[in-house]
Amino acid sequence: MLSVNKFHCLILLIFQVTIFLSCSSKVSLETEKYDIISMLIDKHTVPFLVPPPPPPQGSIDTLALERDSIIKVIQSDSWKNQKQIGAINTKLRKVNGNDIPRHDTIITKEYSFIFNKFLNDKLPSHLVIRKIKPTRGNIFIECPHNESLKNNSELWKTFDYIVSFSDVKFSDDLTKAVVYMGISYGKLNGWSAYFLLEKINKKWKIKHNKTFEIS
Amino acid sequence: MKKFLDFKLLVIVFVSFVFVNCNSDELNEDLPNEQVIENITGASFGKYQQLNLEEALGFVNDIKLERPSKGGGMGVRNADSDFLVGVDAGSLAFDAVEGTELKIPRLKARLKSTEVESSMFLIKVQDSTHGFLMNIVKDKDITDEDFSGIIGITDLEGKFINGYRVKNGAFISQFVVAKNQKPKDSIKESKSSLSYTTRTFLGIGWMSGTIHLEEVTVYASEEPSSSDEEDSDGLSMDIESYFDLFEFSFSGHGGGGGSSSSSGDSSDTVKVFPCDDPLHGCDDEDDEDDKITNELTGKALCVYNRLKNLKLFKETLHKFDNTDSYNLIITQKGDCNNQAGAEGCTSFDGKNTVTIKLLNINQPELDLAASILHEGIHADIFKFVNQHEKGYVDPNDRPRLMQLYFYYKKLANSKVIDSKKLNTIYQHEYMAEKYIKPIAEAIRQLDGNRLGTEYYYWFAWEGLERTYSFKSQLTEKEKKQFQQKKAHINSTTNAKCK
Repeated sequence: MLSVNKFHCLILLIFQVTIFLSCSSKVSLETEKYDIISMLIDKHTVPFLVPPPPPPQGSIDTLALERDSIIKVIQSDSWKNQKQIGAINTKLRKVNGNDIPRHDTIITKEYSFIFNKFLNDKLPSHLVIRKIKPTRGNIFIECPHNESLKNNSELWKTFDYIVSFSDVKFSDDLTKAVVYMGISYGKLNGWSAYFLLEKINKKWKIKHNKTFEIS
Repeated sequence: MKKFLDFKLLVIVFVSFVFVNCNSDELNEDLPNEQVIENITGASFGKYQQLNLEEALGFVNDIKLERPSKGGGMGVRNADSDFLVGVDAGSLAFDAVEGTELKIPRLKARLKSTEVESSMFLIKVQDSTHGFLMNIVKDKDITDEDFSGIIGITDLEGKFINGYRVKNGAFISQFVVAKNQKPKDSIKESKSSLSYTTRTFLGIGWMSGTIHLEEVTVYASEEPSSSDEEDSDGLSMDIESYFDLFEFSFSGHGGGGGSSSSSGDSSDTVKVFPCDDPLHGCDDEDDEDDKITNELTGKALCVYNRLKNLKLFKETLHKFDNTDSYNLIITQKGDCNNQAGAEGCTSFDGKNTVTIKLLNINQPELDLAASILHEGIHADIFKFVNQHEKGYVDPNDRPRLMQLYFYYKKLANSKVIDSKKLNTIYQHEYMAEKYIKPIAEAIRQLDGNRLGTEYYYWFAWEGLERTYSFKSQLTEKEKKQFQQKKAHINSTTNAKCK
């Protein structure tokens, strides 16, 4: 009789451990995902300022001083740390077969395997803005709907950029990851790229990235 | 006496040796006349590059001419040829192309048919020299002072490229390749068109081959000729006088497109090459699907088709028709990967395929046209820079584009600008410098030239608001005015696609 009780306790223990491990894995995956997204937003949303182009060959450079000055401004902490309003597209984009790079020779088999995880994937759940870590005092808001943006171009003036992501896919050991990211500054101004990442010393680093679409 | 005979024999052998040796010299050594000895000071124009004397003579040599048997006259190419039998390298002269500094090398040629008066002219496009024949057959039944007859353009083998019928000094009809090639014995005649078989033409001898031609009316353009050389409609020819029969120019608009017309007007200027494409003629329109995969439908397709006739389209998107190395896909399906709010985007697979996506098909027609042109310029730049990196294009071509590319690439490498923004920054800066007026004028044309160009500037500036040019050139007042003018255009335009 006692052995039956023991057996029940054992079953219960195994069940609880399984649930705990499962939750812990999900929490960990979720944490890594938001770490990566936060890092990419921080890195690629520094305020946009274009230095003057060089003078055409053979003409006098009348903008040399202005150019030097703008480059200094861009490199200064006060410029980089400006507070911006970022509109987050919380709907993660589904990656399809055509988006997966086939000609990028830098992509190793390991990363190819991660890319393939995008295929036949379920529609990922939406991003939760409060889980994204803001840096430089940035404020994140929900991105307006596409239709609203198309119908009212004034909406673009209410934020500095829109940032969008695909889901983040990981290697089984959670040390490598792949994600697609895009930034729009206007209806015909933006870029999108994919990023291959690796966790080194507990921090996510970009190993390789490629812009594949511009507006 | 025997010694004297030996000496004479020796002299004869020596003279013969010298003579034979002289005859084996390169053909071009002493043939060009004095006219071409002077330096050629022509200049490239559009796609047509200037050939120099050396290149022209090199080409003539390469077509394996033999030296004329008697002093002067035609070098024989192939006496047994059914078509071109000789070219007079000594007649090489450079014809000035009216309205430009381009000079086209031209030489007398002889065809098998003695009824045909032929000349060979050379052009250089995409760094490659091509020879063509201009073959003239006079209509002996018309004795008017002005020329009447047929003028045909063929390659050196006699393959048909273009042809016109001229009556009393005016081009009245054009020969085009029949879409449905009939059995070669059939001859059809109707009120609207005359169909000839090659048998008919082989009798005349100005072309060879086995294709059927149709004769369609040449019409005079309704659009006035622009004085701006950039607006020229391609290499043309016109009739100046009987003795200097066909002169090259760049001012023509009439005919030459390979399509029929309902107008009965004749023209005195026609295109030398169909669709002004010496390498493909209008054939590439049939091949369009091979190079441009157009998946647009409805309103977007309608706008795209209207853009096809504009110069800016020909300089950007149409270039994909003229290259075998790159493909262009233009579609309204899918989305711009992770670019929320984007109404269009362009991607390059890094190899040979550029894809343009147009996402807001419901926007006004002129906005849609501006988006197509904007993305078309991106596509053209992606292709050009890739060709440049592969060493396929002359590094001196489009120097400003490459200068901007390398300048901003250096800033990206040194982390002054985000490397992810490199493509948008250098391409948009180039667009802002070079394409604002062309885009505005293209949209104005689509709108029937209703109002001044300034009314169309905002169509061109959209998407370029972060460029240095935009920020440094436009005041807040101007921006507001341009926006208001654009809104006025969109609310009053008749350029609608249903």
